[in-house]
Amino acid sequence: MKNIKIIIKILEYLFIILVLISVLFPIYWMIITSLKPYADIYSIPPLFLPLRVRNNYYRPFVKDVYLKYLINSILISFGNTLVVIPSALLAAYGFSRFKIKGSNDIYFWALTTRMAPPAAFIVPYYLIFTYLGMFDNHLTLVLLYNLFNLPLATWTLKGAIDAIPRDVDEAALIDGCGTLFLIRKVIIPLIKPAIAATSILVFIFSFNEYLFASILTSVNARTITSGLSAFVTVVGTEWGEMAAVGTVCLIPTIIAAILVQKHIVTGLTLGAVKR
Amino acid sequence: MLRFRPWMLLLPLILLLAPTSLAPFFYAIYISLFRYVIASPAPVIFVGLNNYVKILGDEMFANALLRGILFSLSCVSIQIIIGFIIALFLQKVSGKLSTIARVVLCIPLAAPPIVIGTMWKLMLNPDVGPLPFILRIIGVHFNIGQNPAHAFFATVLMDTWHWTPLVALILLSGLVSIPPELYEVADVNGATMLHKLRYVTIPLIKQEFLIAALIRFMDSLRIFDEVWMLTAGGPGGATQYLGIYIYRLVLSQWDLGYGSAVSIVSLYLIVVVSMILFRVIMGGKS
Repeated sequence: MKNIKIIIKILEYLFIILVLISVLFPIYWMIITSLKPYADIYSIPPLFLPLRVRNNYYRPFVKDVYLKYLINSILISFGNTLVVIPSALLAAYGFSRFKIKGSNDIYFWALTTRMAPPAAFIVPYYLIFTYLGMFDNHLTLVLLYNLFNLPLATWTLKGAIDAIPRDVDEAALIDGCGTLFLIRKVIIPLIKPAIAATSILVFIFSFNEYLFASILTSVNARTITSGLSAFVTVVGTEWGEMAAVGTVCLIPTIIAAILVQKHIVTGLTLGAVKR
Repeated sequence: MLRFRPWMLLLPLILLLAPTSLAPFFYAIYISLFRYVIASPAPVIFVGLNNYVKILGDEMFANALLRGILFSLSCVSIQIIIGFIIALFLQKVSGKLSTIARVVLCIPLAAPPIVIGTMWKLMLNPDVGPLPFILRIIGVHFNIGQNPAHAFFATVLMDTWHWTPLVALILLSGLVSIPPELYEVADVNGATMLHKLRYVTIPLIKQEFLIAALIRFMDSLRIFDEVWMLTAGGPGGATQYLGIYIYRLVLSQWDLGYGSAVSIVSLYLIVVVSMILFRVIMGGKS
């Protein structure tokens, strides 16, 4: 009986390890492809360990403009985070503490932006931003990414503020604090971890965006993710370099998975699932 | 100075969301009333609701919609089943492996969708991918560039890799909240493992099942980046889901008027369906 229990335990662990291998294998495959010379990429049977190493990172990042694209991505994501977090914080506090007329409608509206297919926005975005002379401009993407990040940040922060007892606010208000002062001196210190986690999520989702960046930028403000599709050309695909750029795009992902894994599910479900 | 009013707290949110969501929405409705093809000699003319009438007879649109729904339903059902199994096992595992598992499972969730498309292109390309090679050994000539069924399967496989971890983690959050006493009571009454699953576990995490299914259904209808990278909608429209159809109308055929009409209709269909499901499922909550 005891032996059977141990065998079951081992099988349970083995199953989870198998799941993890299936999750990690495509990532592993991309990383080793980024290190293979062109001929080895086409080898039959496929090489599961690289025989010879070729630096496929060199041409895109040093000779070509992908370093600039990477910097653009970081600047735009950082800029968007700076816009999103303060506005989301105010809105989250408003939604959490007050019965505001029409707040249900605003909630509904924010929810629809989460449900809407992004492709439905490409015609108006393309026409509006070209007309305004904001094509290929960093600010355009900083502004646009509010579309999906603002609802996300508002609902993760609202969850954190909901968890603070109202007595805390009231004590501060009796002391004669204004609302903004209260948010700054009382609320923010209490939810610092949630703000940090939300900032990382917002940064990641900005960094990951592809569609809008690919139609609204060309050279100046192009982001690294939207530069990825350039490796698929009519004369063939630059597999090694594409894998190299893809691997670099995964660095923020891995950092986020380690730092804020507990918040990712909450963020992706707009707060419907907590932890 | 202005007196503080609670709604002022929502002002930044409204001012930032209006130009990025409401303005383009109304502008798209306006554009959809015109015949507007960039790079065509034909003049831009007002055609009223003609573009919407055209949708009714558009086979490509019907194809995109049906394939999209088929894709969504396949993804949701497969991911719920696999995700549930993974969640059950995850709950049993403890210690270091459990911590590592949660981190690893979050990697697909936080990865750029376009990179996920890239990874699966590397995995599934008939010339360089390891999977077609393995399948060839067992006699299957897997070719996502030529075989529509293979391409469809490839997108479902990719989406399953991408999102099953989310389903598993949502279900796990439900599993850990079930009080262990309930299982003890079931044990005392001589329940088998299947009985416990059927009468204790599944009913108690029904809400999590519904949330996971809803979120996956909503998001798989919106899919674009990964599929665009992997198959670009091909071969022969086999994976041309709504997003890709709109993209092609707008950026290959430059038919902005008709593209807008299709955008508005897709937006309505997806948002209305999602909203109804959302209301039904979240009705009890919040």
